Amino acid sequence: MLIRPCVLAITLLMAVPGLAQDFAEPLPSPEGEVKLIVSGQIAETNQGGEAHLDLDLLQTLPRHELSTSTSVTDGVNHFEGFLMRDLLEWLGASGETAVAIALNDYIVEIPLQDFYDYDVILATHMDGQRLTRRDKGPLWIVYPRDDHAELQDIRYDYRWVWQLHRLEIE
Amino acid sequence: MPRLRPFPAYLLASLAMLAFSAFLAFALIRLFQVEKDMRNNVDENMLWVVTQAQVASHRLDQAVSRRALGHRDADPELRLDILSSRLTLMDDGPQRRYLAAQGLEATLEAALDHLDALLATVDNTEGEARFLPAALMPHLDGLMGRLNRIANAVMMAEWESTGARLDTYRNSLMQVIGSVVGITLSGLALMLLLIHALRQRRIAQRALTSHRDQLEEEIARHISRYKETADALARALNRERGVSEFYRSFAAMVSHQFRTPLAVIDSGLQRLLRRDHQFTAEQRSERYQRLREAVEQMTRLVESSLTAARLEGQQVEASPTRHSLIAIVDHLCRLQAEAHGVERLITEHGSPAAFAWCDRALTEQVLTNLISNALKYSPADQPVQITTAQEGGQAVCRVANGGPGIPSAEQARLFERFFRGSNAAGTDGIGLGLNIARHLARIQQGDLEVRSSPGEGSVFTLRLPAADPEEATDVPA
Repeated sequence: MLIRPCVLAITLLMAVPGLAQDFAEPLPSPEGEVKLIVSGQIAETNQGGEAHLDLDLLQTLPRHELSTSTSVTDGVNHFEGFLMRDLLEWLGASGETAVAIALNDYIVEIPLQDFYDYDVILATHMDGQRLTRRDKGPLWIVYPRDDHAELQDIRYDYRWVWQLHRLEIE
Repeated sequence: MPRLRPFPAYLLASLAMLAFSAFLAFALIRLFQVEKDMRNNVDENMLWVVTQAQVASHRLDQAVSRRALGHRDADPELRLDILSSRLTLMDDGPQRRYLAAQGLEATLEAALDHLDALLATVDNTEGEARFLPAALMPHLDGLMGRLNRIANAVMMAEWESTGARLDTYRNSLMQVIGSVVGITLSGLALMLLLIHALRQRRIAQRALTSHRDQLEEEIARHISRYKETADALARALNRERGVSEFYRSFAAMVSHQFRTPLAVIDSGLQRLLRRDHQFTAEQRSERYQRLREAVEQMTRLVESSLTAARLEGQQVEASPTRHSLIAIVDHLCRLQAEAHGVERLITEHGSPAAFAWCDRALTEQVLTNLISNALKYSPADQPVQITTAQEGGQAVCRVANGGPGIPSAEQARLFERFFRGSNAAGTDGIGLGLNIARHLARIQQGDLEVRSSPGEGSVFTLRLPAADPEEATDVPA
């Protein structure tokens, strides 16, 4: 329970230089391979009204870790990544829903409220290993399933999108 | 009174409640199990996982073919990674266990071997030759064949499992329905027991109430019987006391009053014995007459003493009825005139006519005493006036004479037993008449009083409870 206020505080601290940077220069263009494209109702874009993000750009977000079991693996796994809400704040997202699309064209609508109610992360690492495209990487939406009983429900399980490729904010 | 049997009723109620709780608990446990089973329904996901793997394999096949045909936008590398991802998922804990449970472990291993071969071929080749169909197709075909078999088996397994689960659910449902029936029956039994108990209680209460009423009646009956007995005893005791008082009183009067006349008779007789020869016939006759008078006086004394003693011992009881005072007074005056030839009595009757509620004999005795006193203690030429009147709630009779009157100091003692006034010294009398008269007036709820002033005569007033003049129960004189 103490984690969330701390994270919020960190987010706020990060937001100030972020804002300053926003006014100083637009969102930088990706230099490496684009891993995530965010489109729709966002303020910060860098290519044709979309935010194209490579790992270096994503790496600028504050790191967040969580341990939880999943519905498709055994035992408790340790995940590293960044909070979904930090990403949305950073890009100045506004709206109700994020349409998450995976590389295999899996598509699901997630209420943005989820990311504020729970510490949902976009994981880049599982058990210290970088997630790869041949597994569930490079990005996997992970809910803190073990911390909240209500998340242990098949209606939340389908929101765990792996191989996330695109987010459309509506 | 109906017999109450609380023990079996409690036993039945306890059993019904036990059954009710047991059925309810069983039904709840079953429902909870079903809910948990439905929630733990992992394997429904499996068909999707396998199908997605199949789709991924087909899209890899498509991408490889298109690349071979020269389509630059085909991305077999991505499709291979996705296929790899799907198979990795199938190799993960829960999914692998499920497939193993269906006997598909060898098939899965074969599919994974084909994938490894594909990855090795692609990773160990450089440039355009990486996705040559000829090199990839054998492995891809093998993989697709295995996936097809897995999908087939998983589909059947899922249908089997769904069927089995539906069987289980139906079973559980039947059990729950059975429990609900049991709950209903137990509830019904409890309700019947409750109604029965309430009815029993009402009956018991009614019986108790009537029993209590009976008891109260009985007690009241007993009490009244005891009271009657006690009253009878008290009355008997009173009577006994009265009788003994009568004897005591009579004895006292005899010892006090009889000596004098006896002494008079004795001395008279002695004188006659001693000087019989000296007396003339007239003298002798006169002495005999005097002795007779002494005996008469004694007779009167015995009569009066008996009456007084009876009164003292409460042996005299008045039985009052309605009488005309006028009739009584006139009757007495007539008797007086006939007996003594006196013409001194003057009567005067007020209007309305006085009717008294009294005992006629007792009233006559009182008035006779008053009239004879009035005649005795007044000069022979003076009349005696008798008046009757109705005054308020009382019938009143006054007897007045023009005698010397009674000193006021003596008036207070006039009604005492054996009291004789100072101006009664010259007349014979024993001092019981007025005492008896007042007693007799009082036992008739009336009274007797005197008003007198020396030189003006005396007035004796008899007061009796008035009776209704209209009532026709008067006995004519």
